[in-house]
Amino acid sequence: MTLPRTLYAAPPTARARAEAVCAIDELAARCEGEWLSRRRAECAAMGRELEELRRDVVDLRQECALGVLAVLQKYSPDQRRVPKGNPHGGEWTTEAPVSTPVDDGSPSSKDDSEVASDVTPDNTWIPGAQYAAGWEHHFVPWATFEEYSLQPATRQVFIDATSGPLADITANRWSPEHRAYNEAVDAAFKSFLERNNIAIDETDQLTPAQAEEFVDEVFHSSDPRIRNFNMRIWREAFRYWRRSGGRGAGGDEE
Amino acid sequence: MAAKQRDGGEDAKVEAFERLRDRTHNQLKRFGQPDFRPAQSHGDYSLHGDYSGYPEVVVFVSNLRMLQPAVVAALQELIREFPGWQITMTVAVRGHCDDWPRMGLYVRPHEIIDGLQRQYFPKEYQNIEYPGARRGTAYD
Repeated sequence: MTLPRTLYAAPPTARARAEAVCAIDELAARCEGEWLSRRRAECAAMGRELEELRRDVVDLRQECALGVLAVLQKYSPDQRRVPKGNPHGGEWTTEAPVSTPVDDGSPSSKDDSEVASDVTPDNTWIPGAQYAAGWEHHFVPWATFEEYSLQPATRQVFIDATSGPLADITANRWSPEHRAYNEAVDAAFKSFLERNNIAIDETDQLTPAQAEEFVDEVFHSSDPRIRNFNMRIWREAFRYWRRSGGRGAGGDEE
Repeated sequence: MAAKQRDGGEDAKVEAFERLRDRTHNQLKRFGQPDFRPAQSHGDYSLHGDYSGYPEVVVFVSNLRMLQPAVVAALQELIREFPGWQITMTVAVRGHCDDWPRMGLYVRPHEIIDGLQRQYFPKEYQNIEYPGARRGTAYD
């Protein structure tokens, strides 16, 4: 007669059990280690952003002080300013104006010397940075709502939800960064629809008010792909505002 | 909309951008599926919808199939109608956004700048060539 065999999930001997426990502990420690190093990297990135913001604020304070000084020394409308079109357009200068090469705006018609000034050894050159003052970031990217059937008013909420003008934040040369942002917003949008009991093929039921709610969610997202990108956006918006002298009218006014 | 705070010249550029973006999207749909469709997230490409101030439309390529010469040739055909503009194809393959270097193509009316680093690609994509293309330099 054959006795029935019972299989247990736990190993049969104490030694084997101890080994299993050790292995589990080791795996758990490794997972925790990975999680911690990811968090550290995120915190370091945020720290860098905050440091840059801090520097911007320090610069702003210095500029304010210089502005007060200029008023005290009597404002001279004849004093030279950096010409329009330059990233520092509108700022005071003591240098003589330099003639600007003719540029028809085409990507391949740049004067070499102009382009070379943006070249950095670590291949982080940003094409078009010289054009970039004043573009806006859409918090809900076009790519993530384009394929959805939406009411015109709802769509308009997404179109209108922008950062306002930015100083200079062109996509880096072949940088996939913005795609990660789009992906995160797309995931958040699908989750939002689910929470609001809106089927994926009935998105025309999404109201403008709900769209605004979603924009707000993106705005305050804690997803690092969204949050870190948006922090950069705020920094550039601040820089634009600063460059425009706090009037928000542009960074290159005369 | 981005155009609301711009002057007339900028409005025209934004309008050209939106036209080129939409036509690029239509052209790419012939060869693959866009990302972020309602029913599923993963497609073959996505388009950057913000006008950066630079005369270009950026395509994020998440499936290397979209780098086939036929696709690039179709985009070059399109960009010829937009002198002074370019289509930037940025390689953004899921799972390799961090461990592959930045790379891509600039598709311009009269030239293709090839900044692909094929050594990272699976074998079947390592020999892709574009007629008349040249390697990119820091001046591109």
